[in-house]
Amino acid sequence: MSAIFSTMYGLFQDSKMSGSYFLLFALSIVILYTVNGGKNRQLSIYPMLLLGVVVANPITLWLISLIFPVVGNYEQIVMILPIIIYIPFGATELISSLKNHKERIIVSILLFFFISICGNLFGLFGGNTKTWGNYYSDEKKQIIEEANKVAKEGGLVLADDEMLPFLTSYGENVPLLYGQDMMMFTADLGIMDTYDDGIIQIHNMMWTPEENFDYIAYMADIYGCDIIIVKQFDSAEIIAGNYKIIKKTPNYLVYGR
Amino acid sequence: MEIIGIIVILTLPYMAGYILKSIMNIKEISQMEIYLIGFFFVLFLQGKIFTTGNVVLHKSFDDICNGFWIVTIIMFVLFILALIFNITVRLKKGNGNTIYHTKWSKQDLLLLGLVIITAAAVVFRVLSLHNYLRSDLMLATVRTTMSTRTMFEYNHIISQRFTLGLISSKKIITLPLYYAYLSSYFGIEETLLLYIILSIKTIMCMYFACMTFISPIMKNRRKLLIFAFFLSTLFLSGDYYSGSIGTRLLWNGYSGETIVAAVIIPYIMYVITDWYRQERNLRINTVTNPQASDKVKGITKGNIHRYIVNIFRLVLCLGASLFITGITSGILLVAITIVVLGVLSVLRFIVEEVNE
Repeated sequence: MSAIFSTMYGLFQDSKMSGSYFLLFALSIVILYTVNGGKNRQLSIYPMLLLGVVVANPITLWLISLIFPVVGNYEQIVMILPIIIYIPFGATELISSLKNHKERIIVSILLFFFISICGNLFGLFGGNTKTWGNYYSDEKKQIIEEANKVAKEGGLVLADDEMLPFLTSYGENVPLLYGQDMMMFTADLGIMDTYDDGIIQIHNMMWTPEENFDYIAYMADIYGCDIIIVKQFDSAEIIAGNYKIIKKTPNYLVYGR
Repeated sequence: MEIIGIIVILTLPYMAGYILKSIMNIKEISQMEIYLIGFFFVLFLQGKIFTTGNVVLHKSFDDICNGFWIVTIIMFVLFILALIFNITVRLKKGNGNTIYHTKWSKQDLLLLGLVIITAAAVVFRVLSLHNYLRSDLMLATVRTTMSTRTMFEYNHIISQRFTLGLISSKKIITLPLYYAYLSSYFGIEETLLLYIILSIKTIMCMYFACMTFISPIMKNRRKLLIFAFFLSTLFLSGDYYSGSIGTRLLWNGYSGETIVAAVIIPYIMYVITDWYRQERNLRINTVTNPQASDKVKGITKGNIHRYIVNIFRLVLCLGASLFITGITSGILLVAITIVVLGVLSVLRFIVEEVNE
């Protein structure tokens, strides 16, 4: 129960920091309840009920969690709220409740800016997904081409967390020592295979190659990795253990045997 | 072949919906709803029944691709037959909604232009995100399935053969497999299929579902256009954090959870509110016309047909969500929506009846 509550609280904090759509949603419910003589009052009860009985109710979520792992998927539970319908619905009803034509236009423009500023219009206000790390740049393409060559010869690849998603998505079936599941602790991927302690240790060390690269190279050799893809670091040497640099880009190094 | 594939992927739901509409003799249905029920049906039939059947029978990936094509051709032939049949007995009566028959004013046209611009901007945003990696494993699974031409034999995360395997319940979720054979058969590049075609298709279905829900409530063209404008605005700025539907729709339009949240749930809301409206109208008719009350109450052909159609629509939603997300969050969200809105509608109906 406390875990559910803390997850809910965390989500509320997140949504408060990065957007105000919950506030707009609540506002739209109030608008639907009050404007146009309460014509849509019945429809405004549904989201309130959903919020009170399911989404914002730790007891219900705890009961559901006995069957489904809801704590890890609380974001998905929140998706049940009809935010996408009620915000435009509330805005439309508010505008149509105004009798003066000029007032309607002014309120429409204000609402457009209000919704845009509360969110992330055209991605202008950043967002956490359209980042350089997620961009499939030419540099990453070059690295993946290198990994593809190794994969064609049946080789094994060791890569850091930043490159892993690109290797699994854009690589040509590149065999990896470990995959993204290493960092997806809460995801239920249904795969029964597990990693041994040595692989987990390598993964953790890949975060700080400047401190551990010699040991990483030693361990990678034991596990039979043919190339190591790692972020550039100042103290990188041309040769490390049985590996030497075969490709260098502004941000990455590729060591091969 | 690629162009044919894109056309088939975008039009098949309408064909399937049209066949269902004709078979079930659903008269009061909009074109958008036809597309939606077809969309769910295609997911359920091609995705769930056909693919799962082949997985259970241990058929090869190539067998599934060939069988999928046969299913598509059968649906196309049935669509043509249904179309010919319906043209001959074209329904003279519309769906009772007169908003489409009134003249367009200048303001309405201006609003329509704004809606088109904002909707196009949403599509443009999807296209502009093409080179950014989505943080899910769908693409990896699709590509591994295609490159190895196997099903559930390779660990898609590390591209190595499973040692212990995949749990059985995961094999029931065959959405990546379905996408893999769509991509494989039509020769559509995987990122183009997932990141653009399927994402745009989901956005289109989201518009259809939301407009289908809101149309009978607003019953006014101008209000509908304003609603559509703000709906687009919401999606243009909706990616304010990773868990929002706006983010999912722009970045992961092809994922099962997105389809459930953005398409299936709004459509279920429509189905239940529409069912409530049907029952209420029927009750009003019996009050105003007592002679007809015997005919509309009890087990009549009309009542049975109404129940079958409404239950069918709900089952279709449940079936589609079961396929795309498995027995996890997707079906849970759908079930909660049905229960909460269903109970609310029944209570509302009873309270109104008592008051009368």
